[in-house]
Amino acid sequence: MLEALHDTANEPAWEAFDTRYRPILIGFAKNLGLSDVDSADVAQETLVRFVQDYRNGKYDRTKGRLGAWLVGIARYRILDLRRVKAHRQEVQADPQIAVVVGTLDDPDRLQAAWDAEHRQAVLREAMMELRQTTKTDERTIRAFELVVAHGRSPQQVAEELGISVHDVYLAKSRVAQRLRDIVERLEKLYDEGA
Amino acid sequence: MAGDGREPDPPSAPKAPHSGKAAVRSGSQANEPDPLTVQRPASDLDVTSAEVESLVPPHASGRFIETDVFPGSGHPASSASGSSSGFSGSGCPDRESLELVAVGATNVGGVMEHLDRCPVCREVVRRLRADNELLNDFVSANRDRFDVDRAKVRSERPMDVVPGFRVEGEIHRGAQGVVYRAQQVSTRRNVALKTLLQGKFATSRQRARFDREVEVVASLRHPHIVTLFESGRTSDGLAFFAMELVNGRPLSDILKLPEGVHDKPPVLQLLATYLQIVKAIAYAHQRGVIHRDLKPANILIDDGLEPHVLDFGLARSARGEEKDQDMIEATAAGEFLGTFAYAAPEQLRGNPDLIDVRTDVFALGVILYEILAGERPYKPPGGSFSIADLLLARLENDPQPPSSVRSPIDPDLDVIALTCLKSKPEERYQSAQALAEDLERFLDGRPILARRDSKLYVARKWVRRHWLATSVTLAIVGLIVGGSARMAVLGERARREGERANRTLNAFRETFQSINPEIGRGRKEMSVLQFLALLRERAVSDAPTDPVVAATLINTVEASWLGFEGNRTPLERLEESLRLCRDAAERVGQSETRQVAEAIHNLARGHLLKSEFGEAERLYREALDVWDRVDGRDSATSAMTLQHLASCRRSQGDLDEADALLQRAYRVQKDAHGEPSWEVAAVINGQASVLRARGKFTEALDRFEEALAMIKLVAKPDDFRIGRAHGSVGNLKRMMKRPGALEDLTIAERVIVGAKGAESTEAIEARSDLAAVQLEAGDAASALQTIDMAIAAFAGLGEAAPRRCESYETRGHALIAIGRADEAVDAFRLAIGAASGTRANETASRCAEALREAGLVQEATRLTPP
Repeated sequence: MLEALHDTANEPAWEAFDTRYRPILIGFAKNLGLSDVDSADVAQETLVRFVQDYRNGKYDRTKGRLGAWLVGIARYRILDLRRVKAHRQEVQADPQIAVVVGTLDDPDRLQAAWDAEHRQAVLREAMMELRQTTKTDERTIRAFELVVAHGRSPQQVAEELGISVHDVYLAKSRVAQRLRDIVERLEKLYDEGA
Repeated sequence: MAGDGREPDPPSAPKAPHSGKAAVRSGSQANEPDPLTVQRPASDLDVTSAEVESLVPPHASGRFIETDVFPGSGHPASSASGSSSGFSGSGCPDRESLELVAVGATNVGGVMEHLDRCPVCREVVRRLRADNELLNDFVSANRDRFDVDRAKVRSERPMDVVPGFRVEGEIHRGAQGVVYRAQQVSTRRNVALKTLLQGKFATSRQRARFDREVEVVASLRHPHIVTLFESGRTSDGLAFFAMELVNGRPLSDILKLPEGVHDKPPVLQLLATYLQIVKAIAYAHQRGVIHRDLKPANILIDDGLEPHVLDFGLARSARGEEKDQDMIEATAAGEFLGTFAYAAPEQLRGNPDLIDVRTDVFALGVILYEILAGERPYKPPGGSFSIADLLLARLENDPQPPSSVRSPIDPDLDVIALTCLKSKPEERYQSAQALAEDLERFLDGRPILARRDSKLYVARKWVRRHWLATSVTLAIVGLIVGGSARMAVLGERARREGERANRTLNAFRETFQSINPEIGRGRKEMSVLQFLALLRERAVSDAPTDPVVAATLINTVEASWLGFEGNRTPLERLEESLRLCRDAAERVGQSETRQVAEAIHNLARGHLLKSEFGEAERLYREALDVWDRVDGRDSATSAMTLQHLASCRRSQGDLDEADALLQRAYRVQKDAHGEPSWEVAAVINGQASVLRARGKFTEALDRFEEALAMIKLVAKPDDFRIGRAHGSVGNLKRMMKRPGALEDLTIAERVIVGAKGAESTEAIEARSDLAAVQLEAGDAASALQTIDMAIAAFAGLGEAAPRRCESYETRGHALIAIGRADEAVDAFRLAIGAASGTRANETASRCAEALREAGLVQEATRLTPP
């Protein structure tokens, strides 16, 4: 995917990149405590800057993961936001941003915020894939959904679907394993921007 | 990858004799169908069973089933017995017991003790917990989808969506509506049934838009526009309409097919289809309907290659009575991106007044281009990705001819496509009909009308309305384009920009309403100055919510205001405007913007008008620096600043620099606006002023006259600038004692007073000049009349009034000339009072001399300075 971003006319690549990373960036900023509007701004600025940097060849894959690079840009965008607000004397009116800025020097906190959002995004993308890869296995996914997503007891579900309780547990394990594979693969893709 | 159907080595190949699954299969479960496992690929076991093998406890009983990811192959916890739970105390507990422990149960008889002893079961529980954690995270990350899915199960039964129709399936789900394939029960006719997506919960605007589409489609009967069969609302309020069901593919799908695919029609065949599309649109235009959202996705092509134009959801009457927010709303909703490639520049500017049938001609041009070249005409410039750049590319450049992308393409087709794509509507085909006719000429092998070497339409002269109206309109356009210019490709920001444009239009609408005497503060005699004050008030009060909009508004108002107030413009206000613009720039994360440059320029002009040349010079140079950084050196935007700085330097006596600056301005303006244009004329005027300052009067007069001639070509007779140019010519003639000065200055006075009002600085100056020349021409009565009008305008202006000294002096001379010398004394006193320094002495001497000549020796003596 990153390669395709070099092609300025490649709108689908753009959309894919945006679809994938914008929600993470917004969540990341919110996670740090920014307002919805500020988070959206930070995400926007970060994407724009990343693309500029990327096109200018500043992003070096060997120097770190894509996520870390984006976190680095977002951090500066947040500082910038603070600077602008400070200039308008809004910081007092918006103490939250002061708190946020306070966390910016804590790499662990930043990484944790990113990881949480990143995982969220991966899990959401995994949903699509799970659906596709388990097409032939309708009952497995149904049993899993009823038990885990809808909170039914394995006994109820077993009865409803006409299978054994053990099969219900089996379905759960199976979906978990499949999900683990998908997540592992997606994590890799996300880190490489592939 | 799991589940991809690939068959790896059987991962569950037994490594320990007791875990052979084949044996188990044929044993306890061989005859029991297992619906959950039957179709599952073996790869499910890739990791786990391998791990499991190493975990199999020595006491495993062999009761296990195939392929459980549960790490219990060979472990009783994976017992297939299922329903039995609990733990007898001998061997390992069953699966259900461990599952219970994994979710936190501690009272599962004997299991906790067993776990203490059994590392395998401990590992099993650890894994189950990990599974549960992952699954829970997964479900909460997708909570909305699980819920939506539940809702969908209910709504996926559209059989009874609309009574009288049997729904057979969903064709398309768009931003606005859902289209079903259905059968009209009464006629057994197959139809496309369109309902509003939000169903009963649609907003009134969405309903209105939907109703409009119904109305528009119903009014059109054309073989290549989908036919409407029936429309209405169900008893519970769902809006729907049934239209002709076309069996075909969208043109967009056809265009996407790679070359040489057997079902991609050849270009010539597609051109015939395209001609039918153009004719269908021409038909709609003749019935007063503009489509406004033409794109290949909205055109279905059936198997006979006949086109069917769909989706008049954005259409509006060509007579334009609609209050049109749709484009902006569409932008706000993020729908705009899909349509962007087909939107004409005037649509991108968001000004609904500019949209007419030629907007559809543009979209047709893009489609033609795609058919010919196999790609869209506009590509973002190198290194850029933002809509802003796309937009600028679109607004500023014509695309490459299709033949440069793919050959061979007939040059005539290049011309036809590029004519449709002209950014100025007046240079395009003026109707879809005209396009259809030219295309037919081409297909018939006749020469087309839009030949390359002749512009089809001579650019109409720019209609200059009242210049204030023009500047306000330009401001609106500027806001929208400027707004878009910061709009990067993606989502949230675009939505907010859309809202901003919306708010700006609303602000203007409300302001205009506020001067409507029926609902606002307006009066018939309301002055433009009062209107400007209202505008600025609103802009300032809006600044906290949208500083960029406010900044642009304020600059526009300031520029207009300066034009009226001249040297009476309070600098504090200009400085405040500059502050607001800088704040706005900060707000959008930039240190410098065009608004900042404009505001500095305006402030500089305020100083220039007050003859504070040093400060004006400093500020103009600062504005130029900002322009350079924002738009590049000698950009079109900076030309006015160059000219003003030249005028400033001329006044300071540096005529060489003034000349150099004007030469730069000349190149810029000529590139940007061509000749004749008022912009170039203004530069020539400036050059004439420098020549005059150098004492080269004859050359100066030539240049002034050249500028006047050019302005007359581009402006209406009552345009202020014509008045000013006559003034320059007339004053120089007067100075050079050339004939014609009186005529020029008479025109100047009439036009300037008409345009700017009697109280404006320039009107007072024009009258003062005219009176002087009238007096010189021996017409003292007219001179007195003229100068009295100028003096009447002083009232309330105090010392800020221009030409006070000259005017009173002229009045005095005029009074003497008509035999009212005694009244002249007062006039001369006022003249001397209005002058300062050495000028006061000179004036006093002249006045005393005049009085003496009139026989008023005593009075003359009193005026003479000591």
